[in-house]
This record gives sequence, structure tokens and C-alpha cells, in this order.
Amino acid sequence: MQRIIDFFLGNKLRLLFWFYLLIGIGLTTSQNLYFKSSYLNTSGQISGGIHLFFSGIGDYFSLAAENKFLSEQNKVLLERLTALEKPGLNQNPAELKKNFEYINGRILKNSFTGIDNYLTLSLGKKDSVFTDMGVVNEKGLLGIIEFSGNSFSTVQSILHSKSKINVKVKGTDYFGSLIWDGKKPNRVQLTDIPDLAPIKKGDTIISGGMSSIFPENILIGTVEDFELTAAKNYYLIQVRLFNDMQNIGPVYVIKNRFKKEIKAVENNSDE
Amino acid sequence: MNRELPIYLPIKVILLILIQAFIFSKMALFGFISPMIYIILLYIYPTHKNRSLWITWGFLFGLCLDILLDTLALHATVLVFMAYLRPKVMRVIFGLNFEQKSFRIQQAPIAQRYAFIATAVFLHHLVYFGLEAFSWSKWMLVLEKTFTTGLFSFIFSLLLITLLSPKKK
Repeated sequence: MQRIIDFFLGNKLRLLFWFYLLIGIGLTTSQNLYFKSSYLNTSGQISGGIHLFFSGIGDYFSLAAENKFLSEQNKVLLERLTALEKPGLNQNPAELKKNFEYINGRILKNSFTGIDNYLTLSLGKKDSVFTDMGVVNEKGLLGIIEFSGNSFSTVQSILHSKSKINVKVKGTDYFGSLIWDGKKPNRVQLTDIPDLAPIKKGDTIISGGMSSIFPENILIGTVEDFELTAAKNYYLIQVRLFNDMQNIGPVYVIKNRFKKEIKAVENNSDE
Repeated sequence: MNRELPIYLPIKVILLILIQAFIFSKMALFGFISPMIYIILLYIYPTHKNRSLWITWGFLFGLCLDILLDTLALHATVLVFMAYLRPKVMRVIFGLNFEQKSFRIQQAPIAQRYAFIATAVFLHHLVYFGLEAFSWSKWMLVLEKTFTTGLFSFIFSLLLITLLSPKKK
């Protein structure tokens, strides 16, 4: 017994080091979703308040730029509205009701220099924002909500090593997956487009609409460069984002009204 | 006279967390570099204090940053690793001087001090990005990020140390 006690006392420092190191590695690499979500939720609730305070101060300095941005956006929306209001179009309000609803919010904390990037969003369950909803801004797609707390949520950015978003080349029916190689925050990669597809530089990439998270036709970026993969059957396409991930501005969470029904149908067909 | 009052350290540490979380982590030099300057904690924390306490502080300090930056426990893990390794690195760089009780890093020759910061930044970034990627297949990316981010962390750390260190009379 004495020896055991001596061993622990003699190696106190080393044991303490391993203890903290294992806790740290365990927390960082945990694959347990329940644990991870509750941990990120708790930390999000604490840091959300602090970030809210600091971004409140910072917001005053960008008011002019934001006003300009909002008035430009208003102009675009008004133009679209007048185009829609042309006589002859069916304007029955029941039919105008869309599948997707937008909730507006803002980003409190933005990251884009890591390998796995997350954003903190000012909306949570109390604003009816839940896990697996899409987040976009005026210029395009930003990410998917990974965990939603009561008043803040964590968004998995498209700049994340596990991000995989269904997209297509505008004007064609070729679908692929959007991933990120972890290098430049303004460039993402498009894979799984077959070599038959007529790709050229400058083509626009938009969301595919194959999932219940994002509607079709949300802007993403343009083709900057492309090459055939080693297997020669698919392209690896470099896509330049329309969005400036360093300067995001106001954002919108997309809520699919029929998500539950879609999920139920999918689950039934799996059985 | 009493330039190293213990009360200064907690203030410096809190300042360091805030500066890192709200200035440097929001920075994006060339679009993708956010310097990690909190590594100077390894420089400003006294050397011959209780080492178990020092490792515990490293962990807690890192965890505060992790909570602010949504990085799970990345910073905490790396800081524990660096806190444990610090005396070993110091022994290599400062040699026999380090063994003396009166040793103070601020009084070491300038070349040795820079070498220490550079080594600390390199080791810290390598472990940090390695742990963040957590896969051998991304070793090129890890090295690339270590060197690019490391260079700027080093430069900013030197500037901050100059700012934070007491004036010489």
C-alpha cells in the first residue's frame, strides 16, 4: 500500500499531465454526438453572452456600411417584387405560401482560419431555430446548424472538413458534393461531377435542392478551375465562393415547413 | 522596486485571453492566418513555481479560450502539453542558467529568448493543427498551417512581450 502511495506521490506531475491531456483529447475528438452537443451548448450559452456584448460595441462602427448594404438589398427585392406583380400572374395568397420560411439573425462569432470552422448565431430554440436547418445570407450559402441552444446556436460552416453539401451546376442536371480542403476560405471543392458534364470556367454553382435543408437555386460560387481525378471518371472542381466568409453581415435561417413530413416519408421508404 | 507583484499576473492572463479571443482570433491576415499569441503565457509565467499548479492553470486558461472560440478543448490540450514540456525546452535553450533558482527568463540573452519563443510557437502550432486535423493524411496541410500561422504568431508575440514587459531603468 505504502508503495502505491509513494508511486502516486513521486509521479504526481506526470500523472496530472496525463490526466489533463486525456480529458483534453477526449473532449476534442469525442464522436459521441449527445455529449458533444451538450458540451458545445453549455459553452455556447456562456460565450454567446460575452460575444453579444462585444459585437454590440463593434456594431456601431459598421452601421454606415450595413445601412448601405440593406438599402441595396431592398432595391433588389423591390425589383423582384415588381417583376412578380405583373398582371396575369396568379396571386392567390394560399398558393404563394412557400415551403421555406426565412428567420433573420446575425453572426456573433465567425471563424474561417481553422480546419473545422464554426459560427455562433444569435438565434436559438426560442426563435424556433433547430438542428439541421440551413443558414444563408444575401450572397449565398453559409452552413448548417449543428447544435441549437435556447438563445444561441452553433453553425457548421461550409469551411469544415466534414461539410458535404448537395449542389449542381446551373443550367444542367449534374449534381455533386461540395467539400472543403481546409486551405483558402474563399475557395471550396466540388466533387462527384461525371466527366460527361459540360464544365467550363465561370459556370455558376447553386444548391441542388436534393435535401430538405436548402431550397434549390441558392447561389454558391463560380467554377475557377477544374481537373479530372486520378480515376478519370469525375471532375475535381475548384469553386470560388460568392460569399466573403470573413465579412458575413445579416444572415437568414431557412426553415422547411414540410421537413417532418419529408423525414417521415423517407423513413417509411427505408423500412 | 517590486516590479513582479503577484497581482499583475492574473490581470495579464485575463488581458491575454481577451486580446486573443476578440482581436487576434478575429484577424485574417492574407485571408487565412489568425495568429495565436496567447503562447506568451509560457514566457510571462514565473519559472520556478509549483509545477502541478502551472499545468492546472494551463488547462484552465486553455479551456477559457475554448469556450470563447468554440474549439471543444483544443487550446486546453495543447497548453497542458506545452506547460509540461516548458521546463524541458528551457533546459535545452537556456542550459545551466535555467537550473539556478534566481533564473529569470526576462534576464536571459536576447537570442536565447527569441529562440525559446520560436520553439514554443512551433511546437504549439504543430500540436494544435495536428490535433485539429486529427488524421495522418492531412500532414501537408498541418505543416503548411504551422509555418504560415507560426511566423505571424512569432512576430506578434515578440511585439506583445515588448509591450507587456516592465520598463528597464
